[in-house]
Amino acid sequence: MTRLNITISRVLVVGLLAAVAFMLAGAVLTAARPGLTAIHETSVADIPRALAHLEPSGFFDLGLLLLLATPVARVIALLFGFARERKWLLSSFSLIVLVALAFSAYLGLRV
Amino acid sequence: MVGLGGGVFIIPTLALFLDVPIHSAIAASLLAVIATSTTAAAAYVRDDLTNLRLGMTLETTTVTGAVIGGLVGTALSKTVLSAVFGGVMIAVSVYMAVRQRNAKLPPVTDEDLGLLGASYHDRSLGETVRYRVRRLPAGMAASFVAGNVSGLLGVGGGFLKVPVMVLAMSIPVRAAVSTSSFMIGVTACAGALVYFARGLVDPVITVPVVLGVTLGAYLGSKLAMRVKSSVLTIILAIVLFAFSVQMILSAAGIDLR
Repeated sequence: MTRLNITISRVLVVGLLAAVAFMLAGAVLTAARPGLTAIHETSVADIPRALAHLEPSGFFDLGLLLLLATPVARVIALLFGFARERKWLLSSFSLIVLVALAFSAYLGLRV
Repeated sequence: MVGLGGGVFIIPTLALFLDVPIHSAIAASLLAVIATSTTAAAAYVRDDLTNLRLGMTLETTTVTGAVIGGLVGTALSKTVLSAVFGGVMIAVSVYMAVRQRNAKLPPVTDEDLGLLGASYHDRSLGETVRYRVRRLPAGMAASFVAGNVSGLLGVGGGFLKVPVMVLAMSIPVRAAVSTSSFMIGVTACAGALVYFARGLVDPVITVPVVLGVTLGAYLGSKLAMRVKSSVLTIILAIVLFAFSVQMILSAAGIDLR
């Protein structure tokens, strides 16, 4: 087992657990406050406010956002991991994937 | 457990049985695919089954494919696509089930496994399996198509990647399954980012689906480690066959409900 494997595995586990924890917290809050319906916060900027008010939607959105960020984080981890091993070709592949992901988010925001 | 994200099951279930709008169903499915992929990949990567180098190499074409798939999504008829892929998948699943008998690859004794070759320890066999990667261009092309389908239909594309890795690239099924699991998280992420940015992710639908599949994927990846490769191949063939029949039926306008 290489160091890179351990790092990547950790990135995945931490990202997933954090995402699941926020979603479960949101579910508990929803159950604790009957009559309240979770409404999707359209803006990422609204998340901190929703969290501060203990609104379930804030927790759901942050959980989903963390889930989305996990694959991105592991691409970044591989980018640096391969660079550390001086595998420049593989490192540049990671960079290409990262740029494609950024482009995809950009396309979504633009429309 | 067989290297698929589960999108192929989630979308029909949500859209057909629970009357969820197709956009929300695709968005929920993509998030669920990320969750299953991440859960399974965490275990596989730790056990050194995943070929990180191969995964990253194939991701360059698959993510590009996913972005383009999302862009041209409306240009292609889903009916035509479903019918074509259903047909291809039936052929592949039958071929895999038949070939399974003599699927044992010649052992690679060569010290040089190439840039992308790797080895892993198969617990069910109790031995270390070594392999070289063959026909990389074919794999890159297939990954592009898989990414395209992913962006188009909201699935991970594992049902295309695994057969190509096993049949064309001479990768042992166990390594192919874990490498596919690892890759589809990023493929689905490309599509999911678009949906999230557009506010199409409905937490009420997505959160329960994600929590459910995470648990399922965790149990599945535990199970896959203990099952023999031959059994894994047969399960894969059956799953692919069932899926392709469903696709063709829906393309022909037959509703199984």
